[in-house]
Amino acid sequence: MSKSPKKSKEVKDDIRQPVPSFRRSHLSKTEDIKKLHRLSAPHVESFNYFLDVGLEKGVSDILAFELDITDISQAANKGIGHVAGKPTDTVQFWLENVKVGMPTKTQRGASGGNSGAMKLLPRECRELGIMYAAPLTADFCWQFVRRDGYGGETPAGKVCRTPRNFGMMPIMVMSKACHLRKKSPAELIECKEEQTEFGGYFIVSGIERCVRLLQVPRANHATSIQRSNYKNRGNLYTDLGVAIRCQRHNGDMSTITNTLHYLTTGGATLKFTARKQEFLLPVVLVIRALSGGEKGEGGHGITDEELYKRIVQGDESNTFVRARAELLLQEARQFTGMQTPDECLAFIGSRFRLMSGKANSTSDVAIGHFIINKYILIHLPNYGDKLEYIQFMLRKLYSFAAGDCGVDNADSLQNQEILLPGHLLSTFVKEKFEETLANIRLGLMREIRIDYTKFLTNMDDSKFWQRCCDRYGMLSSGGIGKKVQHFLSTGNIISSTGLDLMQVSGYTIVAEKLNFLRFCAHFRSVHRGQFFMEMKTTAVRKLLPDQWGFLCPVHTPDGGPCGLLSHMALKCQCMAYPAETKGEGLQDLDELLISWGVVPNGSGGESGDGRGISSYTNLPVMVNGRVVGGASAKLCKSIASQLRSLKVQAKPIVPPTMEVAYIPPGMKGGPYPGLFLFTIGARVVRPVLQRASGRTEYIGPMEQPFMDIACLPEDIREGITTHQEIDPANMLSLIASLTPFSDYNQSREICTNVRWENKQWAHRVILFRSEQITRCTRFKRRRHLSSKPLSMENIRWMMAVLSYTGFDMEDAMILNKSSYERGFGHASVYKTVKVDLQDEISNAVSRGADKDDIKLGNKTKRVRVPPENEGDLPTFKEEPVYPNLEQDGLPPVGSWVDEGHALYCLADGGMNKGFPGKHKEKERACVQTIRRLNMSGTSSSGRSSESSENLSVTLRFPRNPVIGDKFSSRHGQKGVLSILWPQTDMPFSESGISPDIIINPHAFPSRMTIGMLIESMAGKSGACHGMFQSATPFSFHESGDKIAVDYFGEQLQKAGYSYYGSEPLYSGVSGCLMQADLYIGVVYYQRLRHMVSDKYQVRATGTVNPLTRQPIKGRKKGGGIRLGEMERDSLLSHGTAFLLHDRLLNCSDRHIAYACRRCGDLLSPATERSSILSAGQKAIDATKHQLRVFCRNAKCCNAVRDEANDDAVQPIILPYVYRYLANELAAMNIKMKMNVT
Amino acid sequence: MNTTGAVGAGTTPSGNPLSRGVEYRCGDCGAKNLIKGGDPVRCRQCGFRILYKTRTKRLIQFEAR
Repeated sequence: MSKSPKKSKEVKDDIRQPVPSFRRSHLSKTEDIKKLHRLSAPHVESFNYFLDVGLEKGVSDILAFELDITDISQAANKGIGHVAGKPTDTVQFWLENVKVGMPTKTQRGASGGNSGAMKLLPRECRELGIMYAAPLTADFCWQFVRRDGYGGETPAGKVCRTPRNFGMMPIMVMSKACHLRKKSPAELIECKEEQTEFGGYFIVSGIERCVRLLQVPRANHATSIQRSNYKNRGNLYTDLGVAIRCQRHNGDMSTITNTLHYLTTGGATLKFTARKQEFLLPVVLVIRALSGGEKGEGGHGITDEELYKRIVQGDESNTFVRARAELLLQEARQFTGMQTPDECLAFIGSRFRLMSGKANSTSDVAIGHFIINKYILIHLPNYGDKLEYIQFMLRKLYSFAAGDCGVDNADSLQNQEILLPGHLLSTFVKEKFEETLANIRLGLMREIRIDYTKFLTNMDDSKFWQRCCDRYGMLSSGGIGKKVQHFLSTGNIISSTGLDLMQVSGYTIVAEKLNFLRFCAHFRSVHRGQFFMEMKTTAVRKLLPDQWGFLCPVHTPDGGPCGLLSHMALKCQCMAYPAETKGEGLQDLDELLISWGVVPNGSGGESGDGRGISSYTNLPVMVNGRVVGGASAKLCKSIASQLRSLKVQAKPIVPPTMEVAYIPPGMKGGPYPGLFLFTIGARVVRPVLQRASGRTEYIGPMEQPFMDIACLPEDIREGITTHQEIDPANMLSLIASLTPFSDYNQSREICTNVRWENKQWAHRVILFRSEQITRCTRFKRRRHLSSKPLSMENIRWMMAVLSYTGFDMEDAMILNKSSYERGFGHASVYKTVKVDLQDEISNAVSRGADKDDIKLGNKTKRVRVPPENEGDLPTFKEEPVYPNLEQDGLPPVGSWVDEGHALYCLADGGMNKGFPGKHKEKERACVQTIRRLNMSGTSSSGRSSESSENLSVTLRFPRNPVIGDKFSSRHGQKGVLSILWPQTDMPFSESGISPDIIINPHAFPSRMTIGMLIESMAGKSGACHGMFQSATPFSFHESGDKIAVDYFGEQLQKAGYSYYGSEPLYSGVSGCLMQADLYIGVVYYQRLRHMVSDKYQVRATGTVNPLTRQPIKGRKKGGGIRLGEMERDSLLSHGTAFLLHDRLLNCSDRHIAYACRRCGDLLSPATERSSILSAGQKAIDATKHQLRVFCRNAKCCNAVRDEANDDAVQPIILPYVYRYLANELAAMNIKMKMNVT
Repeated sequence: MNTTGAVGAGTTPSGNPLSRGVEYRCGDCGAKNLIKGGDPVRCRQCGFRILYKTRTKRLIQFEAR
């Protein structure tokens, strides 16, 4: 007795412990979780890159903004331009020390005191419907400098700085700034997360959104492009060009595309885009500007002779290139006064002064440098390298124009990389910081203009600068964090520069958790770009062999996004970080290449500038789009193979993920030859087996087409094959590889299955997510096996294949009624109703409630209680108006609500006025959870009021199987539940087992899903022997030692069944043995989301389209279902003309119109309106009044009048659209004549 | 659907309904909180901002059909 109270106390304390309410005996294994983490790795890792590198590099790359401290209100100083020799005071300002913190919340403790910043966990954000965000801070720095007007400047005073808060930066779950990172499964459960949480998404107003991966042109690699709209650039322009998407050298992942256009004269211009405007520069001008070096130490620059030699490279026999090189120089003659580098830079600088936003005191040359650094070949910091690269582009352009090399396919993965979320954010945030500084500059200019003397006095006060930063940087209204939030919540990018992107919207998607696989697939999906969705041509959607092993050929949706939205193969990885090129044990790539015999650019210079000219016989050797030197084709080939062996060493001296693309020469019209090495980020790589070393090598899509990789061991050709696939199933995506024995199926059915796995209901029971589920389904089911690629749970149903009743005809199935009653296939849909009580209160106030007194509560009414004895006075008692609500104005948890029932109620203090919120769904629902959310202190609430409260009510709608619900196996074998069949009438086996479902054998022959047959055998033998079977595709062979049918057949034989697993079944109705070889066994089945209760549509009469008077479409609007041509044909062929007449006329747009017998016109008959009574009445009503209907046609009128004929107008029944058609035709001057008799 | 929820009157079975408050559980520590109308939504133990209403102890009647 004494022990029991103690025990109950323990139980109470246990509430603090994680409750093991899930029925698993163990937590997920670490290796399984690691595999899951790999799925979202491109997202999480790239966001880490943003936090680690991108943000800091981006901000430090923004050059200091500057402003001359001169009185610009005076007219004399209004001009733009640099005046040499005029000393000025200039202020420079920039940002430093940018940091993202950890998500925190400020919360008052129970005692009411402020307990300071506390951890904000994702779970809380989901429930409260707020953003998972952390503060973004940076130091705003400024300094005064004095310029002498000749390019020299001396600092006046020290650098001042003030830390500023730039808003709340959304944080990706599981990234470095997330509290959940590195938490064990048990700890995750303690944080009320799923134990397998792998992150990769943001939480925006409680909704999980992930940024789409996009296919973008490969960075730092010049591709030849033929595009007809290039001709629109001007008179001389052709459709040929060489484009390069340059990734900024400092690692902030911003890109700029430069295009070299080929002109009909043979010349070329270099294009870059700045602030969404295109600028074209003559290429010789750029070359001359670059030839002076980045500090201007080059002096005289490049001579015409040297330029000619560099382009021709000693290939004097190539008249095509020679002629064009000469022409370039001739054209350059028109640039008078632009000979030296500084002259060219000054010219460029003078043209871009306004755009650069530089102070007047900055010289033209400095602006020229600024433009070149910011817009031209930004992947190379060095002018010499830029120069070398432009020459390479020119050679490629001329080779392309001459037809020696062909067009590079921009749709091929070879020339693409992936735009990762972190990299996109990195460029986006950089631009926003830049814009903020630009706004501050504009604001300061305004301050100067309005009151110069005040500005001068304020200038030394740091509070003034803080205020300017906050006001003009718009930090109080959310700052940069707000802009990122807007980007994430809408998917629209608002940018002043365009960020070198092709689209402005559609960047983010909701990571819906319809089922776990679908959720995983969101993080693996790669989109080609919104732009291609509207394209009429289908070339972009084509399945190209280049994507083998990188993008799944099967896993792409039907319809609109087909071929544009693909999914990464299971083993495909994205390089979020660039490969380490410097570090312990790594050798400098340049030195290595040169030691192997690559002729470097800087040797053997005959031109005197110290840089050499590589011979035309040498192929270019490039590292990340930088010309290292030249080497013969033979040498390049051997370098490539040497690099490969170095890559896979136990201690590699070159980066193991480096891409070594050796493109051999000699392919006329093929790709431009060379040795292209890549170590930059955003590339995709995948592992294959290197045969020579037996180790795993990571290869990229550019090198893959030039490699010899055997898929299966029998594909190996000795002496040729260098690599082998690790597993042939690696070409498939996660979901596609989960189809068991998919190598036995017809390809179409695999595709179908992939789509259905996507539509499947909750694959996994989400037990621990305390998230605010807006719409989620839970599936109650039995547990079962793990399949090889990923540990998954799935559902086993006892299936029999036979034609048993009339209901299990093709593509229909019957369900065992008793199984159903035992809970088979039961599921529910969860919907969460969110209520902003502040909105509700203001609504109530507008309807007459007292603002200070209104709160959640049930309205009461006085009810008269009849007196017990006659003659007594009646008594009154208070009774709630909404009987299903409790005194807190909310229903009890666990109760049911019908349509129109109150879900919550606001009432004033005396409970006299009530403002209820109703349950609007037609279906009745069970109140699953009621959460009261205190929104005070959350940044998203937007209200500072302490009492800000929200409400969220989760409702459960039961969705147990009903007739018409859709089920499917994993082989595209869908079926519709046609009847719940009593177990007593179901067939049974000798051991007394009766099936859960019966499907029809006719489903197999035409679909040829042999995989399903094998899965059935595997399922049955696995169940008999109590073991897990491996259903991995390509693990069995059609012949040889491991034949699937034999393997499972023998197992079944051992278990006492026939070889194919069939056994005798007895009819449940008669008890007789059925004379057929029947299969009964366990098979994985899934319930699809298509359910009758979401779809049924019924209407007799209702809304019609006002123009055609036909019923509108759409279930939501109460519309009808289209009875189309095929349905019409079917009714016709059945001879049911009356039914057809009813459907197409009476139930649609039946109309009585008048036609003239004489002239056959449908439009000319009119009703004579003689009296005020009939004015404005319809024709049909007019007939009731027996008004005269006559034809307005002149001839008919004459006939009636002259010959005293009757009106000859007759009412006919016709579809209204027919009359509408007659009207439309009349508008086109076509008369429709009816032969009415 | 074969279930019908018959929920009785909104008052709690015992005591003055207005004085007691309705039982909620803290979303973080799990402590019991009695919330009356107008009370701030906040756990008295730990100050957490999300409270769950506890499941009713009243009989939810099912129609056995």
